[in-house]
Amino acid sequence: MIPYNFDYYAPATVAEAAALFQRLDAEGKQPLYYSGGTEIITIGRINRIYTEAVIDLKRIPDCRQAAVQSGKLVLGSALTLSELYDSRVFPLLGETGAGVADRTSRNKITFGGNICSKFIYREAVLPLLLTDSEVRIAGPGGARQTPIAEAFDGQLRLGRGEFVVQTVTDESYARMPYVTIKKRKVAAIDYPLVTVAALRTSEGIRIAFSGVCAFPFRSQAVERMLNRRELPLRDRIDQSIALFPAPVISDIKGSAAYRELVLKLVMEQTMRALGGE
Amino acid sequence: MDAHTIRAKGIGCFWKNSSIDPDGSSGAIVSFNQDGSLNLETGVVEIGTGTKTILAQILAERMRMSPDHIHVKFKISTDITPEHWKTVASRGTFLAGRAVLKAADDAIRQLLDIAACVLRADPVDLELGHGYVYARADPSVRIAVKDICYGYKYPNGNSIGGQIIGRGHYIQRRMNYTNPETGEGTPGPEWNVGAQAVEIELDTRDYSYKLLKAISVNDAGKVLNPKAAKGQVMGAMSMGLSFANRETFMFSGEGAIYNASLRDYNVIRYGENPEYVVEFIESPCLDGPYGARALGEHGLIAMPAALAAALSRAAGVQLNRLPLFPETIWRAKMGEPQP
Repeated sequence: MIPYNFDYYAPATVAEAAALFQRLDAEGKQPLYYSGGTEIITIGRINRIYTEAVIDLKRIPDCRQAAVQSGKLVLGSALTLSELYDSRVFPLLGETGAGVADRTSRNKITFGGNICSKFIYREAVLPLLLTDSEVRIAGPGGARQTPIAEAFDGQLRLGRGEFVVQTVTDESYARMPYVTIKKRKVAAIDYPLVTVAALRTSEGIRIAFSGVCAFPFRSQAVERMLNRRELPLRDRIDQSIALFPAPVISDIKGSAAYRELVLKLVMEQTMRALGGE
Repeated sequence: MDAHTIRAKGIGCFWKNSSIDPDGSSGAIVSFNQDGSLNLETGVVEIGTGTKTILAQILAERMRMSPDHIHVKFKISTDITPEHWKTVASRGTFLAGRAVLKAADDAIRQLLDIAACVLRADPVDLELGHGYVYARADPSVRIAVKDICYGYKYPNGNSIGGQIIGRGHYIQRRMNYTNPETGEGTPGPEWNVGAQAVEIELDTRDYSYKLLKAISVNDAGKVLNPKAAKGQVMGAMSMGLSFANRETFMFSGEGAIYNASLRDYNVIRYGENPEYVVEFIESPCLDGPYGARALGEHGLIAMPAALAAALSRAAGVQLNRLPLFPETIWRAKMGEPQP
């Protein structure tokens, strides 16, 4: 049970949603954008999220779009992880998202919701980082389209009242060889010890991580090291971990030392699968 | 298997007695409907174990009738339903089963008494079966249960008897408290045994492993319902493996629980289970209903030991600590002490 009452709004347009947020915010309702609702429900019931108004984005056609427009793949933020997986339009994204929670939950969890999750994993962002995608963000101040590398810094940097409408990805990336691997502590359904997503482009292998540090990331320094094929693969892996932007985490899923062991195995498997030895 | 995959088997054995309050008792009421069908009421709470089905089978067997004509009362009213000590300790079938047999015998005695009058026969010459009370030596001398279970009316209107209500109870014989110093005592009537085995496949790179096959052979005394017995043991095996392989609370230094929700407290799900094999041997328990022994919890007990034995063998290190997370095995392999 959610121990507080809240109002529910279902705007039909992006502008209406942003205007609603602004008004409800001014009224002190602490509004939240709502899409799959899995986190609002599960965190709300233990009183760690409070709101007096939710603004459902699922009725906004832009947020439900899945289209190719002049060579760009446009994906709405309110598409569910199950829809992304089943559609096969962007297999790297679909499969990375399919590692989140369980199928029943993924039927509710949305693309945008996962990227903006309160939890540290946000695995659906990894394919966006790998493909230099752009994010269409809207809010009371209007709309903007920003490269993911600028918009995402551990988490998506959103202004007050802003929300993700769509992501835009160059369609050619959807056909490149990729690997996505998630390793968990023990159970088939859990948060990751390590999630690695990688892509082979003509310039080299790109790689992004979740569950390893306290935030998901892609690092140019790590990729440069991994692509130095004159060095033995295991040395490249060892040295690239030293270049990570933050320490490897220790938590109830695993210690940093064990995570690093698993990470190295997954990186090696990834590099080999993409012909990066 | 290959350079980094090892298959191994482990085996564990168990013995268990159900220690309950020495005066823990169970009661049962068997009443009749006008069509000769029966109502069965006991205080056993049906929590998915199928005990109430088995009690209906026990009653049908004793009454020599089809269980289809027994209405099992599932709802329990703590005001008037006969007491069943607790639906715990693998004691449902044993305690309530014996109470049902006694209630059935009480009802049969009443049926034979009234039938003896109607048939002008000695009750010891009569038998109950297939909806009739009949003379053992001449079954054509008979009266239908439905014509006597609410009393018998003679053609001239004279009537005898009334609704038949059988009652029964059971309490375990000569139980006593165990001596806290020596452990001596009689906590329960029967010791039940079994052997269990697990086969796993260990990846020696990260010590992750697959549960391939799990086997349990229990002494059931007498299997009263093969599918229910198999389901009980299989479910318990799953719980035992889940307990051995992942279930635990994790505490901070101050004792706060880190994984207080099912988000982080994992249990084995469908698809993660090994192939289960469940077999029984039958050495009857003379006190149990039709020889049956306790079954509910026993399938759990040796699973952790069997899994730990298999993983110890595969990893080449003695594993004495649950749960057996891959990281736990890795740490043991690295020579860390297991507290």
